[in-house]
Amino acid sequence: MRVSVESRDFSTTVNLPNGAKLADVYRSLNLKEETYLASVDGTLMTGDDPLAEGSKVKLLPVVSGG
Amino acid sequence: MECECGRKAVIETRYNRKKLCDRCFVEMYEKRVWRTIRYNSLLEKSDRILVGVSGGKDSLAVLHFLAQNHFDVTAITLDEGIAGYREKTLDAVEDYCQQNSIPLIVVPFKEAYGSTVDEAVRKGEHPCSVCGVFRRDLLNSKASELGFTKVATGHNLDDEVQAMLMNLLRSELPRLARCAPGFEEVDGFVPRVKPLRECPERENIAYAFLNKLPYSDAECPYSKSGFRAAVRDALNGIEEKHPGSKQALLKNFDELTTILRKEYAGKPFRTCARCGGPCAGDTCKACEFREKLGEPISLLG
Repeated sequence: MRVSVESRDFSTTVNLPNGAKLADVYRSLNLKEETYLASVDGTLMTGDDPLAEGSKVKLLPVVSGG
Repeated sequence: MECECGRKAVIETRYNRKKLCDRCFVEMYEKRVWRTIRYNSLLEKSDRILVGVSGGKDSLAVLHFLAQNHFDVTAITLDEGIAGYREKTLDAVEDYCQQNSIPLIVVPFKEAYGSTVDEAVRKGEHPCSVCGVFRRDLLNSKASELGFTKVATGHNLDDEVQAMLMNLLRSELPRLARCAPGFEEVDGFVPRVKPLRECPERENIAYAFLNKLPYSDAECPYSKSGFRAAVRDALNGIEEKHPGSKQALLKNFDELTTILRKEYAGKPFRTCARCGGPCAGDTCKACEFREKLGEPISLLG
């Protein structure tokens, strides 16, 4: 399945196997889960939450400001 | 994944092995902030509080918490003059303050000191040094001039442990002593308080998101170059492998800095010969920078 991923510094689409979880997005993009929070279709989610075809993942970077 | 209450979890806090739903998270977060305020006697309901607000998640979170809990707050945004950065965050502050009827003061560095951070960098100064000195000076002078009794900032757990470790690594013990919890009453300074100092940066985002705060996630273009960035990355690497390290560090630093504060207490501040503000030497750092950056200053008297 394909999910779109958007963050402050990039946006992309990732192909994941059916039944993939949010943690798989971090893994596929080689990102550390601790350095982001994620909302999926506008709701905050944890790494164990399953994704669906067409899910829109927004990664909120922990580090911001000065 | 479920919260203890049975609702769907929205955040995992690895340092205490919890998974929390939106309601339980906000309740836990706010209880922690109240505990910080009460345990350290940071604020009274009678205080007039000037809140330093950049428009990022931390400062909007502290402004929101204080406003929702009926503290008397006024927001102040300092425009450092960093092209492509401050414009975005200023919009966020203006939106929030307008929606919540909170008075907002905007002060550009250019107006106060005759120079922006970008201009200082072009003259060879380190951006974080100039910015930090001008910010502290301006927050204090505006609070003093306008009769505020406290200055509140959105410094979080990550900021605190980074600052403490940086002071330790630079052998700056008097500065480390000033990181102690609570605040000191020092002539010439309006007390500064940090109600979010026990809140991880990550949780400030969750709090801002769940409260629909219009924060900007812009990152200061200079923040990647400093010593702080190296310390931040090191601490994040440790926390990733050993959750709870930052909380442990803060707790232990708090014990040490409380002892250090007693050691360094009672050293009276002098009066800056140029602006009349409090300082350690003959002139304050803000006046030193102002002079280096070409702003003419007349001596007092």
